[in-house]
Amino acid sequence: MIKNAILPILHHPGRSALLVLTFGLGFASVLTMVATIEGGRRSIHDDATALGVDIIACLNPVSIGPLPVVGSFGEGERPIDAAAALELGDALGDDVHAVVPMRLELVLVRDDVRTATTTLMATTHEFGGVVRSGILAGRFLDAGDHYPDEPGRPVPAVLDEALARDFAPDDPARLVGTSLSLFRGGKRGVVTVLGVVRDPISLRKHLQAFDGQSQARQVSARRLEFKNVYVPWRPEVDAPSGVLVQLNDPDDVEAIVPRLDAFFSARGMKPFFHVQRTWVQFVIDIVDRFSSLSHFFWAIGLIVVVALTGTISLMSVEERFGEVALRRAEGATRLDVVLPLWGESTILALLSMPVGYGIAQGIIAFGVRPILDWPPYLPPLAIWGTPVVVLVVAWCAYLLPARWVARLEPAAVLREHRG
Amino acid sequence: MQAAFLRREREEDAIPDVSPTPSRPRPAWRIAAAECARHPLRTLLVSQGMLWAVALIVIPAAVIGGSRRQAMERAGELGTDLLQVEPAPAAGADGAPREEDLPVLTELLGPGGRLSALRVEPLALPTGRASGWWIGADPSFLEVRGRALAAGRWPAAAPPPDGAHEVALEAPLAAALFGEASPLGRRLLRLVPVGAAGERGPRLEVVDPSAPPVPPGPAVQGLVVVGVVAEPEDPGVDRFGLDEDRSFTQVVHELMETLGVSPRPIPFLESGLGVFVDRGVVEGDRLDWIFLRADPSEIDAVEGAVQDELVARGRTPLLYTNAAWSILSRPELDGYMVLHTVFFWVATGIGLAVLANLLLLAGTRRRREIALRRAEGAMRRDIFGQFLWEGVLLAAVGIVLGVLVGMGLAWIRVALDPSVLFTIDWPWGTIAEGAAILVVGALVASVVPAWRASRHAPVELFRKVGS
Repeated sequence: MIKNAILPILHHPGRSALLVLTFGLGFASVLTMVATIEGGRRSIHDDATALGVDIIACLNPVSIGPLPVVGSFGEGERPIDAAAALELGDALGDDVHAVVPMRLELVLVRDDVRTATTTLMATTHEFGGVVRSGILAGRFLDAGDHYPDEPGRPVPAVLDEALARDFAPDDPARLVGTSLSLFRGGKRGVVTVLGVVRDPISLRKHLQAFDGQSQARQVSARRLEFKNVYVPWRPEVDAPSGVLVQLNDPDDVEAIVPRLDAFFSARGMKPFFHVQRTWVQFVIDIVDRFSSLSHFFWAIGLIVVVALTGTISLMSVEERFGEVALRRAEGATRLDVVLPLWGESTILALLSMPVGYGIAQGIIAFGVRPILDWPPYLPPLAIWGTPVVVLVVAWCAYLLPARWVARLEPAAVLREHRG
Repeated sequence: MQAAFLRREREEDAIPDVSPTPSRPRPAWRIAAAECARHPLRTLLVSQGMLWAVALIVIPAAVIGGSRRQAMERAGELGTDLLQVEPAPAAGADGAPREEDLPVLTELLGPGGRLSALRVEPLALPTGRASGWWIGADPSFLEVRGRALAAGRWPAAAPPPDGAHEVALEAPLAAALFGEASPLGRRLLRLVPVGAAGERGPRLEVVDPSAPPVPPGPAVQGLVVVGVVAEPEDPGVDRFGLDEDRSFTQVVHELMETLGVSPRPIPFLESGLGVFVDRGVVEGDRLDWIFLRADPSEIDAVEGAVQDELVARGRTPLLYTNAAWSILSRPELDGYMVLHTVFFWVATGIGLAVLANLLLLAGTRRRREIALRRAEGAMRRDIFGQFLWEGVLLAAVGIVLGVLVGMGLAWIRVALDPSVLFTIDWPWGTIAEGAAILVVGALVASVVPAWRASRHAPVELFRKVGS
């Protein structure tokens, strides 16, 4: 049977090679689409999770003039102040990992050539423990770093990697130890860079390319872009924009939020609580919704591939109807006729798999990855499922017509086939 | 379905394709066309690879090309030339832009740019009516916002000789206050409560023409109506250029809010209950809203420059532009189009492999037909030409269907998008490019099968068919 399956392949090398190529290209296109979509989805999941699911941000709603704003204070309510920010850590004690006050402002950072509008976060050294991506170069602020009292003295600062790359695209680490101009509140100052925080967002290139509204984003939300410049917080000067609470366990959210609410309410303060775990989950839900839509496209691709490979296989086997009838007339059983075709289709489909994998790898390495930058990922279902689909299609396309013709009267088939 | 079409194909193959007049053989392309037409389902299935290849390359070209053209041609209507600036709510009063910033911004815009700024306060309307707005603006407001005067003129900036400031009412407010009577020349009072009553805010009152004049003072501001601003035509789009009636707009708004972009309502621009006055009349130097118009191709750069300038001056602005245009105008987008090209080549590869396979198989299966044609006097080049033409015609079918499918999918994409900016154009350059690649590819893919089909002598073919 194996010999009968291999001989037609060897006798028609061109036809067999094209069949393998067709199967392989179809196989490769489905693998490429799945790997690209799944890789992107996983990268977004990872990036969102890297922002910290164990953080609750207590943020001040601040009204301006008589115009309506997001969030507002009721009668007797006021924003979080520095004293409350400092007391909160003691009130929560060991139930939380860290309590970090912060003030957020839009500032301008400038070197001799370039300018970047970015977010300044005035915070304490504890914030270094909240950042999970780690330090790329130098160090984070420590307890000994202070905002200088005298104007004009350099301010110790740490930059996020993405901001540092605005000034040193190839080697952001080289900024450590250098000075940059800082325009804060309309006043020019100088910062000395102590360190660079590693970028937690791997999809930044794409987020920036398709984020046309970053300049319409509220300042409190901009901190999550991780293009911040971190400077020491001055409790007596910097009215906090909010407080970050890092939990010991992300599941503690339900227990901690009521305590935070009670703490601030007792002081007449009304922050809103940005629970990052909820927010991350929401973002992931949206991404999953869109990736479901993407799966629709590769499913269409699979149908197209199935139709094409099915057509070609059918035509290949149809050519041999006369041969099948002749063998039947010579006394071959249906199984004798069908088995070699089954073997041939299996061999061709199996040969197409390494070819398909190779082509898929090539497309991803040279076509997709240089553009998208994210690591492709093939879910186990795609790894095993796509070859099975190709195999089943090849079997069906070979066996169904062969089985059909094997059932017919050989003389009738030969008469029809020869006209 | 495929088995059925193959059966039918066999039946049709049984009909000999004999030319009626051997002395005048049909041209190869006509025979090839007849062959494609006789097997429409096979033609469709084989053309599929090329169909998707063309569709993949046509869709982005149609949408991006069409939308970029529309962005330039209908800039004023779609807001692709508009930049809007408001102070970030969380920044506090210190973060608001100020009068002193305007000359710098005007300079940034250059000679072709236009700018208008507003200073706004709430204004209680006569009892029983909704809250109105006391809007300090400048004469360029009408042009920059695309509004028009329904009657009268824009209020003068000059100090009033009789103590009454000139105002222009929005048409709905004029109708609410004066009914169908002309409001021009009518007098109003802006009452500013002092002391404990000050918390209630200023209030507008209509002056009875027969009543004695009220002398102006710190708590009373006399106003005279000199103009009526026509009701704004409903643009149907928000400040991001999104069509509010489209189903995905709400989803996009939710996504924006999640990311910290808060498209809050602007009641003083949308309620139709504004009292316009020269901005110098409204106290303070804080600016609540700034509109800037620039060349759409430069709006991205202007946005960056305006932000940098305001932040350097200690302001905390939020800047809004047309959301779709801010993506479409970016050069990075062209980089992503390379992906479409990659998939175009993959689909082209599949399509051409299928085509070559088909012709190879057909060459073997159609030996009898070839033998008959050779016996009738067809030359080897005629057979070669017929198969070559079949390949080219199948590619042509794929190209035509691919263009139609691609344009159809692009149209659906545009119809579903929340931005009205998106539209489609026929990307003739891209179509020609894709078609040329596929036709050349089809020629190459057809050459070997065509050569194989044509190389047999008629006697040899009849012997093979007979055996």
